[in-house]
Amino acid sequence: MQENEFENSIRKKLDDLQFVPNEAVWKQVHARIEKDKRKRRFVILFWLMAFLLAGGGAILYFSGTEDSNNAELAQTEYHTRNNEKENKRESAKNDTNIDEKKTNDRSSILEITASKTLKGDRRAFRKTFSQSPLKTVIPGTGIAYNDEQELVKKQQEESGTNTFNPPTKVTTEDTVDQVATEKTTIDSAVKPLPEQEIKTAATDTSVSLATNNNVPASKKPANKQWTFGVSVFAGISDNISSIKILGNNNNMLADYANAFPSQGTGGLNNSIGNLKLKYKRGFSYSLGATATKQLSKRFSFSTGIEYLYLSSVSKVGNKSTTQASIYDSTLNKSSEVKEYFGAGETVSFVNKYHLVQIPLSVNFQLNKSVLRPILFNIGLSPGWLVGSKALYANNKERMYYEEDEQLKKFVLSGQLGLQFTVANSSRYRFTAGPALQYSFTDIAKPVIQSEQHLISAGIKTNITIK
Amino acid sequence: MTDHVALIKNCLKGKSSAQKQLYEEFAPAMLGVCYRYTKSLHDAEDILQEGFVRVFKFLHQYNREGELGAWIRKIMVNTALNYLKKSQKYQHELLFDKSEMVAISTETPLIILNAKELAELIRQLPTGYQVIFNLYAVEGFSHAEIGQMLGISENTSRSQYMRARHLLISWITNTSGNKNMVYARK
Repeated sequence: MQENEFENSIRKKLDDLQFVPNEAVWKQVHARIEKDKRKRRFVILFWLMAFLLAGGGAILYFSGTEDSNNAELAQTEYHTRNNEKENKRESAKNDTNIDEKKTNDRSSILEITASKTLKGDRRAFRKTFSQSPLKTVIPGTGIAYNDEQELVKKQQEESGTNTFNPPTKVTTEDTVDQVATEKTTIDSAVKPLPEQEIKTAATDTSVSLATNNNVPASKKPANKQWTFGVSVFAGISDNISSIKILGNNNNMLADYANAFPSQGTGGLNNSIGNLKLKYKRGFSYSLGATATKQLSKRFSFSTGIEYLYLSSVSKVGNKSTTQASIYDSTLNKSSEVKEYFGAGETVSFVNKYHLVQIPLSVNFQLNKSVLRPILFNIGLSPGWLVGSKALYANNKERMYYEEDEQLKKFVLSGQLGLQFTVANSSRYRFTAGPALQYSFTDIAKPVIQSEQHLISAGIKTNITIK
Repeated sequence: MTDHVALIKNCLKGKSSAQKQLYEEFAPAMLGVCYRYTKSLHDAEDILQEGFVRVFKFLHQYNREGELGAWIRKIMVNTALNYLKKSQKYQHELLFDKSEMVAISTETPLIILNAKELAELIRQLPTGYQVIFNLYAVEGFSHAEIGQMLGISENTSRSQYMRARHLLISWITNTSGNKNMVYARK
C-alpha cells in the first residue's frame, strides 16, 4: 500500500537520526537528579523526626503516669512526715491552733498537686483549681496564694528547678519553623515537574507504541483497584488509666482522696489504701491482612483484619498456688482460682490481651514521589478481645487474681501512623514506619471503676502485592 | 550489547556512573526524537533534559518486558508534547485550525534525502502538522490515540495528518527534483 510505503520509508530514515547533545545537558540532568534526591531525603527525615518527636512525647507522657504516681506517693509521704514534725514543733513553740494545722495540711495537698501538675498534668491542675479556689498558705511562711501560677512560681523559686519547662516547647517550634524554612528553600530551588507532566509520565505506560515491541507497564488502572497485602507490627504497649488532658479532672481529686484515707491524723499509709494495680509497659505485636483502595491521587482507604497482642507488667505480692473460692462483691460473682497474689510489689506478672480487630484507616500521601511515597494514616479500629490473662484486684480480699469477667469484649481504638516506602517494585511495595494505637474504649467494666485503656507504639511494616 | 538490567539496577541505586552511562547510550537517539518535534536544537535539548529527569524519576516503573529504548522514547515524546503545549511560541500553531492546504497528488515519492534533511523538512511543517505527522508516521500511534493525547477528535487528527503528508511529499518531491509530482495551494 502506498501510504504504508511512505510511512515505512520515513520511519527507516528517521531511525538513524542522531545528534550529540551539549555537555551542559547532562550536567543539568545530573544536578536535577541530585536535588530531587536531597529533597526526598529531607522530606523523609523531616516527617520521621516530627513523628518520632510526637510519638516519643506521647509515649513518655502516657508511660510516665505510673512512675510519677510512685514519685508522688513518695513525695507525699515525705511532705506529710515533714508537716507532722513541723506541726509538732510549731504546736510546742507557738501553741498553734487546729485551724492553722488544717491549713498546713491543705497546703501539703496543694504542694503535691502542684508537683503532679509540673510532671505532666498542668491543664487538669488549672481546671481543678479554677473550679475550687483555695487559699493556700505555704508552710512556715504564712504567705497566702490563691493562684496556682503564683504557687508554681514560688515552688520553682524555692526548689531552684523547673520541671515544667516551656523553653523546650519553644525550641521544638523553632526547629519546625527552621525545617519549614529549609523546605521552602529547597522547594524553590528545585524546579518541580508540572503536575500535568507527572500525570503524563505516570500514564505513559498506558499508551501503546506500534513502532516498537514495548509492552505497557500496566494496562490495568491499578489506582482504582483493591490491592492486598500483609502487615506486621512490633513495639511496646501499656495499660493506662486515661489521657489526662481529655479525662475528667474530678478523677484527680478522687485519687488524692484515696491517697489520704486519714487526713485528719496527717498520716498516710499506702498499704491500707485501695488495692490498685500499677502497670508498666510490655511487648506488643500484630499480624494482619490488609486491603487498600486508592480513592484519589493522594488518598487511599485501607481495611483488613488484624490480630493484636498487647501486654503490660504489674508488680504484685507473693504468689499462692492454693486453689481458692473467692467471692467478689464488685463483680457480684464467685470465682475458683488456682493461683493468686497478695498485696505488695515482689513479683512481676505479665498481663496479656489478645485482640482481633478490623482497622479502617484513611491514608494520605504526604509527598509527591511515585517511587517513595510517604503515607500518613489515621483511622479507627473496632476490635474484639478474644482472650486475656489479666490480673484483677479484689479489694475486699486484698488479693490479685486472673479474672476474665473484668474486661469488656468490644474495644474501639484509634490508630495513627506514618509509612515510608522502603522498596517499591512493579510486583510489590514494602513500607515501614512508626504506628500508634490507643483504645478509646475503657476495657474495664464500669462497675470496677478503674479506667483501663490499652496503648501501643512501635514500628509497623506492610507488604502490598500489586 | 549493554546489560540493561544491571544498568537499571545501578541507576535505581542512585549510582551516578550508571546514570551517565544510560544517558550517553540513549541521549543521541533521543535528541533526534526531540529534534523532530521542535523548531530549534536548543528547544530539543531542553526537552531532552526534562525527559531524562523524568526517565530517572520513573525508572522504577519500567517493567523490563519491553525495550528500554522504546520506553525512554515514549517519555521523550510525552515530554515534547507537554513542552509544546506550554511553550508560548508553539501555542498558536497547535490550534489545529482548518487549513486550505490540500494535495493534488498522493503518489509516494522516492526519498533520496538523508535523515537530517528529512527531519529538517518535517520541522518546517506547521507545528500542529509536525506533531501529528511525527506521532502517526514515525511513532506509530493511531489517530484515536493522537486525538486523546492532543485533545482533538480522531477525524481532525486524520485530516491534519493527510494535509501534512501531502505537504511533505510536495516538498520532498521538489527537493528531490522529481517534477512529475506537482503540489500547490488550493
